[in-house]
Amino acid sequence: MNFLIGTICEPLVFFPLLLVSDFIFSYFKELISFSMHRETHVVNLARVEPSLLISKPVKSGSKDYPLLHFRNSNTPALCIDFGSLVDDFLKEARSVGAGDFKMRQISARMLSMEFERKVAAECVIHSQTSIRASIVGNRWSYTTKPGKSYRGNSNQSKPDLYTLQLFLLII
Amino acid sequence: MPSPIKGGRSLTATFQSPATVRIGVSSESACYKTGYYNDETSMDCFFDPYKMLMINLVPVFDGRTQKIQLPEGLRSVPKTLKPFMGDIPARSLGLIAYSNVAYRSQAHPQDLTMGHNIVWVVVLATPEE
Repeated sequence: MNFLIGTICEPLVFFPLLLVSDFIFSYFKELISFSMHRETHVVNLARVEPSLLISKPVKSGSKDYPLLHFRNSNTPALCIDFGSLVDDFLKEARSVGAGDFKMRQISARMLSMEFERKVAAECVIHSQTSIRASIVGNRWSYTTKPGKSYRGNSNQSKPDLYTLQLFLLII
Repeated sequence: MPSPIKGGRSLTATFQSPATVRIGVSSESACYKTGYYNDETSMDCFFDPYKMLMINLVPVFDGRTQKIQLPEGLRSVPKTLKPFMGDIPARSLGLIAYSNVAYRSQAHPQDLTMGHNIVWVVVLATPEE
């Protein structure tokens, strides 16, 4: 099992109990080494063969931004990543940039070799030599779709979504 | 000039940033298909209890006691696993599902920016175990 533990930066080194039981170990080994399932359109970018994927809009010819698909498929692929979770901002939206947008975010520290393979796969899929992504060190950030925070627009009403929803739930 | 992507389609500046694009979703399957439901400013959620719960919350599931049936179970995780209660401890082992988008931002139109729209999170193990 030493090959899995690797250096101290590997997330699995914090969970020695996971490696004790052969049953749990086999489950995690299967989970980490999962590459893709074409029938359910689930893919692990760190393991998949990138030539099987393509980036295109959901509706052909639309100007919406493109999503990752399997070739000859109209269903966008659901990508999965395995890693150590850090910087949890899922419960409360945070402002980004100059405060124009709000979104929720969580960061994950991936296994070292999966990080490089994922970046390489995305570069190959999009035929780019380099890409821009929200990465701090070896932590990859996953965010919700950003929404406008209504900041600086005094003429527009500022809806408090959470208060309104809580009120409606109580009703 | 942006370079073309595989398959004969080109990524031009017409693909706007996800922050400025609104796509309406009408069903649960569409939500999970595109991963667009996490919009902080969606106002159409007030009359739909499902959307009300899902739009402003990112689902976090507990995978510590219940295992995911691989590989078919990955798509039906929200229906099979129980919600994870409480805050996620730092350095927890997790599985993150997201939709991968590519766009050209206004600040850096020469580069392709990757967006990872989170769909759900499964906590597989916590450090105190």
